[in-house]
Amino acid sequence: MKIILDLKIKYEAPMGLVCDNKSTISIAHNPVQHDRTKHVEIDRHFTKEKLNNSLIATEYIPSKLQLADMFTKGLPTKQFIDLTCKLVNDRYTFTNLRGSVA
Amino acid sequence: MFLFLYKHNPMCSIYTRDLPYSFFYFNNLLKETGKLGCKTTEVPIEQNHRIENDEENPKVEKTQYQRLVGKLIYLSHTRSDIAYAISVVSQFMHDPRERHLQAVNRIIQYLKASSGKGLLFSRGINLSMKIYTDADYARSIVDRRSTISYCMFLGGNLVTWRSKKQNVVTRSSAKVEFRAMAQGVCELTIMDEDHTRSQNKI
Repeated sequence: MKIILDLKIKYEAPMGLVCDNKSTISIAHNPVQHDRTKHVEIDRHFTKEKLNNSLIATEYIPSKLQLADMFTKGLPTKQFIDLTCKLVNDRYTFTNLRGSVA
Repeated sequence: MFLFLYKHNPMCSIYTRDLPYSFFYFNNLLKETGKLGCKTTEVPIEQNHRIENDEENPKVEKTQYQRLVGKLIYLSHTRSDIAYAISVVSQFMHDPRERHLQAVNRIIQYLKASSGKGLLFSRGINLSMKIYTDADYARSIVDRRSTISYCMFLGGNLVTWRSKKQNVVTRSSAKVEFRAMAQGVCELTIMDEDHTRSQNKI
């Protein structure tokens, strides 16, 4: 595959893996085997390997700012508009114009 | 799939928004379905929708529904915001009912309201790769399967996205979140397999 190499793009490692679930992030990092997470063993080893190679770095994001949310469920109007704005370009952040003037 | 891009301004930003073909395509769709004067909405699918296989609902013409959804699927290649709504309506292609057609009409109404929107590819300072992963536990009321999704950004620009209903029923929400995460990692490694290989050699 090597799409990135074929396109001759130089990017900055590690790649960010953003998730709104803290327990999932800690399962990915935790080297201790839990019986209760046995059924996701392959996925866990796979993710852990990439983490160890520092190919990826996990990152927590609150559910409100989670962009992938709009691909999993129908959202309320305001949140949908906010997320589509942010989806167009990730660099744009939410602006809150109701803040007080210091 | 080829993506025809339209150069937006001399600052090297590329915008798929003014894509003339996409515009005509959607306009033709509106004409064909006789919805040029339809209402508009702000979201493509309502919150907590309960769209299911409803035997009591009156049937609608199957080929027409399939044609319509097929056209919307084609449009969704450049419109990431309708990806989820499309995935819902395309689950009922085999037996479309009145309720499902209503959902399709809502997507058309949304597209009409936001026909100027598109993807923006702009030149950034760095090329950091970021992937957002999420899962929705047992959302589907038909079979209680979960939905996983991810969207990937390269230098702040959206490049790939996916919304997929799982093939199996999952019993734990953490598992489904983790599946989404692993799928996201998969997407990242497909993008850069060689990097992993060189890391492994060391």
